[in-house]
Amino acid sequence: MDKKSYNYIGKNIIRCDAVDKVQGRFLYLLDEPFPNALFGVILMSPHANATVKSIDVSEAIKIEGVEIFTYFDAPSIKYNSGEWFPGQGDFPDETILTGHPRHVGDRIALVMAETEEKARKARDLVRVEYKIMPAVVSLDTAGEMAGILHEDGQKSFDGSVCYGDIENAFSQATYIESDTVTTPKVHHAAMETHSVLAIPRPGDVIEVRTPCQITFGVQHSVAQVLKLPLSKIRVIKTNMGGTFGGKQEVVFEVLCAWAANKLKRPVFINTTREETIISTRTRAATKGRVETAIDTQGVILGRRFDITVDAGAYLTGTKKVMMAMGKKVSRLYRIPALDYRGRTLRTSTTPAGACRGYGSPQIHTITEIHTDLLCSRLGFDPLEFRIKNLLNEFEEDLSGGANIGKARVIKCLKKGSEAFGWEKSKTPKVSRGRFFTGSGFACCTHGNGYYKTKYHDFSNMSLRILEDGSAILRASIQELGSGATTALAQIVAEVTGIDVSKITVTETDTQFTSYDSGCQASRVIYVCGECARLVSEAAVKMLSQEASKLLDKPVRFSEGSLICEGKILEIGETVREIMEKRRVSIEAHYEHRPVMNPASFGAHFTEVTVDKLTGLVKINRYLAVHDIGQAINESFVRGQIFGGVQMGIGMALCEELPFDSNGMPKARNFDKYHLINAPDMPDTEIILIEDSEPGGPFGAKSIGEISTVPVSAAIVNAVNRALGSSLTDLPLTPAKIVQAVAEQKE
Amino acid sequence: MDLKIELMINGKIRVAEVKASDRLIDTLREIFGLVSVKEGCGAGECGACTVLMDGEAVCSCAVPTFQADGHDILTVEGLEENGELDVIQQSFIDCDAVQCGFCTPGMIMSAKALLLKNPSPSREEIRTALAGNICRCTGYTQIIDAVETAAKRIGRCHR
Amino acid sequence: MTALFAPKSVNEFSALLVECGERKKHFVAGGTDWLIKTRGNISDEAAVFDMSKMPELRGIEIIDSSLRLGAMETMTSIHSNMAVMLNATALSDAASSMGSVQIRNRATVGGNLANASPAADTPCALAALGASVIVFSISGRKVLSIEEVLGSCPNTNTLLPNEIIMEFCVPVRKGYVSAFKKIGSRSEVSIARVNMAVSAKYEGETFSDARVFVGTLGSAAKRCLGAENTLALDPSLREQSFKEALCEFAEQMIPGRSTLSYKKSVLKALAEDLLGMLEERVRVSEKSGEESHG
Repeated sequence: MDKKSYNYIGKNIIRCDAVDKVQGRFLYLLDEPFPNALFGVILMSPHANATVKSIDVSEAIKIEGVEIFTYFDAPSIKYNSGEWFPGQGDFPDETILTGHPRHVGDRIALVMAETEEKARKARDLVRVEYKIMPAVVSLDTAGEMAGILHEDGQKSFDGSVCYGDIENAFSQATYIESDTVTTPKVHHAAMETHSVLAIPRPGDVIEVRTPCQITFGVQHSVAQVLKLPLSKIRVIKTNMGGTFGGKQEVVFEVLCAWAANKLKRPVFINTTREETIISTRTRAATKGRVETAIDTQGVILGRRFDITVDAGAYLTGTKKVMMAMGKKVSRLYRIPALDYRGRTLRTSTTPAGACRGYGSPQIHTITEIHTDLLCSRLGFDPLEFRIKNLLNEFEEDLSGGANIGKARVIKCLKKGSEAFGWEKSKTPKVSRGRFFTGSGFACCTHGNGYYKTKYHDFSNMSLRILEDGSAILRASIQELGSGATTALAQIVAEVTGIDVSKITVTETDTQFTSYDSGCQASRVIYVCGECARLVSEAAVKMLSQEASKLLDKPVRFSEGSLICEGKILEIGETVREIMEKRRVSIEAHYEHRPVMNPASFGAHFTEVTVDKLTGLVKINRYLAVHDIGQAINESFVRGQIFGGVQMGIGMALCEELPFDSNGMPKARNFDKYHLINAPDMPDTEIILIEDSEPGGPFGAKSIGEISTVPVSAAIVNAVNRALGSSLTDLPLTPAKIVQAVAEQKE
Repeated sequence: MDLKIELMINGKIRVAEVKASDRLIDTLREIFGLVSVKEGCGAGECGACTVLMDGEAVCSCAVPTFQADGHDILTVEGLEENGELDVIQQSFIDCDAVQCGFCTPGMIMSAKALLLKNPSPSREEIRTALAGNICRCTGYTQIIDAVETAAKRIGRCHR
Repeated sequence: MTALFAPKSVNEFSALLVECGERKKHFVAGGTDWLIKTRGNISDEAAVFDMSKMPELRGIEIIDSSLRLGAMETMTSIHSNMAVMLNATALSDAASSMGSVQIRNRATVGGNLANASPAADTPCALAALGASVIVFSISGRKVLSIEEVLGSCPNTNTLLPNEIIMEFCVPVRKGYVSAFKKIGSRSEVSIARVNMAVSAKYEGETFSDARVFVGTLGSAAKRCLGAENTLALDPSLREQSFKEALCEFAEQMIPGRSTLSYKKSVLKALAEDLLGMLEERVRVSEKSGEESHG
């Protein structure tokens, strides 16, 4: 089938904010101080688990203009930071300030002053006496120690995903293989730290400005604690310096809104990198035991999982992450019987929550490392084993999720292995008895929205074509830097024929833009993009219909042009006439509810060289193959893949947030928390498979989260193949590799 | 008492009164309004606050302002000439080397410092020049492409 | 209010020191470590001295078979200097591998030693090169070795409150090669997990009069005599013996530490790499016909 040649779709349109960004004119919240705002800093607990015996602010409030709220002043209403709509029912265990800090960095008081310097000085003068309690760090004891961390005493939050006859599967199996894999607690490391501004406005409105992913979720969280009507809470998503899930859950927003509302004065809370690392959110660490039952032919009969997830000090969205992990299992391989049991435990460490991939990186890291190891032990070819068991297009999700759609994972794997030269690379090589080179690969899947899950997924937009032929798409979009607003403009442009330069795509302002489920679940291109396409179709239909009525002649819209009796009408002029003579504006509305939630797929290949003596791993080459339906902007897709690979390599080799036995975070800034930097980022080849996914705008589906999903497993598989090892405890730091090599010798 | 310093910022001589504990990043942002200089870590590790001091890249969060006395500072705001973007800025746009944009000013300044010293760097040399600039969005690839492109364009200009 | 001084000569500096009496003094060299460490916490009674305006603390030149480096010379000015590259190659290696470009443009060789971090890079190289440290105070100048400045306590130097490092003197010796390498937790921009520097006289394939210094084992530069002896062995034996001597050394220096076996493994890598660098440098100088001077 010939690919249609589009005017805008698939083209590398320059992103609309690129010029401002390179000029330094793109302003983030911290760059635009708000007049008369108090600058707030959080007094954070230096202990992992303690109760406050006394708090003395007398010296601090001697500084002129200082205001302090301690946990005594704050409402004790509990909420869950991962809850994004009323009635979601996530277990509430967090308060905006607390007298029982449960992790280093937990919020005891908010100290405000006219300048940041004064606020920090005042904070240093606050005297707090703590009664220190034992820290809860190890997952092994977290359950029994739950009572000393949380008064609710809930030991763990369990869940399962089960279907099929698991007992039968395992009794029929010729082979039963198992592995235990651990994935680390990771810092999102968006370059912009967390910040929020809250402004009390006339009419009892509280306005909250923050870089966030789910603006209506922030509105809900504020309403829950402040007990104000939702309509009186205006949340505006500000320019975002990256998030990766770290700004998906509320952290300081509710506290800031409450303080501003109480003082009837604007309050701005900013954080340093240390504060962002220890007191916002992290990727949830997991420990997963997976067991696979396989028949004589190498076909998977069933899988069992026993997964423990570390939520950190508060439950946040981590139980949902744990459940999401279970629901992903049946969307990559054909698993006829599944017994997935997960438990989420709370520890006195930085809270976990949403993080790019929302459990997919963790679960696919666990299964893909396991799959490689089992193939190695059983003598199966890892490529053939996967091809035999990976899902084909339009297979049902046996766990009850949405149909997986036009799956191209096998095509990704086959194309990738050929382009990578897998057959040649798969044999490890040694040089100088010290440098071990090996290759590895991993497959992955991720979703496209919330359809056929528990949660509602819809988007409500309007497209107005203006009097000069330009257009404004009023949508609740949260641009994270991935290019969503430009991509949506490209979609509108393709349908309407209006050039991208004349299209404005808004971001969320709960006052003015209509409901959207938010930037999560990889739904923005598939759902919001499709809504943009549909509302654009509606707008041009409306324009043609009104023009017909205006001219009393048939008018049609075709290929970006308004045509009447063979003549092309100028859009702007037509709109002006319609407004003047028909007294109608050309603004179409559309609320899109997806009825499909296909899977996106990918396969990554890599070759690494491990230095046995130093434990350092060099990535020689990397290939990412993705089934994305259709790239809306190919450069943006490539950008997401490069960024996802950087993140995944980090989780595989160097990123972790360790805590000592007292719950003290050992990495508090980038000196200890290492990200992959330019010298260590491999040149990455990309192959895109664009076979057009039904239901997505022009066939497009997601890339932003899935791009980081298979990376860690691909790297670990390559290292294991290079060394002949079975390393499963991420990250594979140099020290771990050196130790593994030493143990091999013995 | 505060020290009076005089320095050149983006081609203009400026004066300021500074305390011993003042950081160059704060002076640039708050006194001179140059908010392109971003604070990503405050510890000289992420490079988001990179500016040029006498043509060399430095982390402004790790430079005491008093040590900038008598020196020449260049930030992204000083790159444009008469509203025309610098070659590096244009290359960043054309190579789609910008996503969230937070690391971008620092990256551009590090690239500027590199190209002032080494007008035709290899990709390895570009990586080393940018090793102190962390990006979480782009995976660096398109940024390295942009610097390479800028070098080629500058080279063509000079012939 | 904290007093802030920017003396323009060491004489002006001396006079100011006297004026300040017993006040707590901060000497700010490159400023990077100092600013981050003291963030907002400098007492009003303290006196801060900007060391960057004294010409006596700058300069890289060869005077009477001695390579002189001002304490305020940065990593960048050092590693891009030809005289250093030719006569103190280990120092060039160390300076170019420290931090990022931004850090190298500010970090000074004097500050690097004064901070005395066990993972510091240039002190290790300077020690191997047999550098002397010229220490300045109101009472005059004195000459110390790198080890004497480092003393026995990590992260503290042995200088007295009114003493500053003025310059380094590295002997320029015909027929010597040197090399430094560090292994961090990533390829660039990482504090050393282990580092090492070697300087030796060469004659054909053999080495003699070697100086081997290892950092990160509790101090920025500890001399390993056992390893030095092995470098004089026959080329077919020396690498293995070199490795063994270094491992034994590590066992003596950090017994029982959890990082011991890891550091021993890395020392073996450094041994291989440094020998390779030295051998390559010998080859290059023999090919060029010009004797290497360090």
